[in-house]
Amino acid sequence: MSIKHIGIIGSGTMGGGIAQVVAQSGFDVILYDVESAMLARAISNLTSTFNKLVEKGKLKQEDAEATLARITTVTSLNDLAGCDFIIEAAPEKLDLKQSLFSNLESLISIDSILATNTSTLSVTQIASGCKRPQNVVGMHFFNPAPLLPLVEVIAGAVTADSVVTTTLDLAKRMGKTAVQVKDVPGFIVNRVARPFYLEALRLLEEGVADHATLDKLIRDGGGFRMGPFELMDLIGLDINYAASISVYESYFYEPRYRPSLAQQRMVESGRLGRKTGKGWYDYNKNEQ
Amino acid sequence: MNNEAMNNVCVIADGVLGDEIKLVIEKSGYVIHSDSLGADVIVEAIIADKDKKRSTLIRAAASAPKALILTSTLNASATEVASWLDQPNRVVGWAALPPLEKSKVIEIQNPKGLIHSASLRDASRDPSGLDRACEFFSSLGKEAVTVNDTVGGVLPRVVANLINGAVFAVMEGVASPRDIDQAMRLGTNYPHGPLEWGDKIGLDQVLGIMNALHEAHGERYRPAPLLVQMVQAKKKFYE
Repeated sequence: MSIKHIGIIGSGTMGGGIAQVVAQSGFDVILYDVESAMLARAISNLTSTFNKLVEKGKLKQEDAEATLARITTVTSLNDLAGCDFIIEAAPEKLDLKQSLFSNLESLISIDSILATNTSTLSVTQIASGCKRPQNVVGMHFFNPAPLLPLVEVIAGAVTADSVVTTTLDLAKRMGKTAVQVKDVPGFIVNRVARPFYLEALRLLEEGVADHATLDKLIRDGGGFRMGPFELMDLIGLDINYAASISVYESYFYEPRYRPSLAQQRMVESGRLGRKTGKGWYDYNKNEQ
Repeated sequence: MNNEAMNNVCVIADGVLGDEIKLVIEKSGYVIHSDSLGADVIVEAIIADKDKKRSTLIRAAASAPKALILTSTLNASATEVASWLDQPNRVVGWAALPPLEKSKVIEIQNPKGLIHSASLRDASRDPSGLDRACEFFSSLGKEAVTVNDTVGGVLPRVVANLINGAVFAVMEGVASPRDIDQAMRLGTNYPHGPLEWGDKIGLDQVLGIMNALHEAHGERYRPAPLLVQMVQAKKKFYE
């Protein structure tokens, strides 16, 4: 199928970032949000992003203008009726996503595809409220979407093969590297990365070394860009902890994914990382 | 502080980590012997087979009664290895992972129960094993960082678990090995995909680490059945 018009649901950081990627790849974007104020902010963020790229000489002025002109903002789902492909980046609430998908399905043409950017919910479950669940797929971008090259394409339990193929091709047309994943909790990255954090936390709890020493050994010994503790501080300990809890529960309490008490205490004490000025490291003291 | 010569180095190993440490030692100007007789330093990295590690170390220690014994803690803690030998105070654990040439640090571990004991104070009339180990590794251009003794060390434990988890994902058909590696390199900036890293380290060595962790810590560290089969079949993820 030929895809021309791409709808995006949600104009937060993720939705706005995806809108940028899609528009820069030459597609017409219809960006939806419930609040027009959110949409105005997303457009103003995109405008300033493009201005910076133009200033740095990374984007031509006329291309920036043409890209922005390809984005239409709407506050009614009805305006998405002509979309060939819709990417949903709404808040991670199952009932919200399910009702969005069944509403959208009744508006769009019979072979249009509905993609969810969920990172923690089951694609199969989101699709379960649809009459055509075979047209529902996962398309998981990483934040910030314009910079990170990876997209996980998730085949739900009943997603049609052709829908998966179309989505993989579309991600490639957006300049992304697409990988195909079964609908399992955490998909690839959020699942396979868990031991990086959880084993480091376990080593800390067992008193093998302090967090800074563990970071140094893992980072400088293994060639990682960041150690697990500095990475948790960057991600936000609350976010990282919630991801661990979600994976642990979703795999029916598989011991490999058991979360860390030390991390729970950090979250409870409000030491969430860089965003609060203090996590495993203290950022107020200019400590790295 | 240290007058003790460390000229004659004997390396006993069964995999890539051993091959790589041998290269690093040679490049640093040491003479390497395959026979431990008369060695000043014995560097051991027998990781796939713990029984072989034990019997080889007992033999080597007996034939070089004064040698500093640097045992890899990937599949046995320094404390456990020290318990096998007559003079436990010359045992120091070390841990690292391939590719070794890019790694700037090496973990070292003192056997437990020795740091305050009379035997170590006696031994410290000579420099203590830990000091000699630090000196040896810094002569190889690596910073030695001391951590508390534990089986699997720090980096090998974290990476072996990443690999083992990725092998579970392959076994469960979550994605192809190529897609898993690609996703981890791009999605998390890992230096290598976990499966290609497993190939590089040697899947038998990864299994050796997981078996030892499983034995020490239980179910959480159960090796992926596919990992066991890959080792049995002598297969790699990328041939």
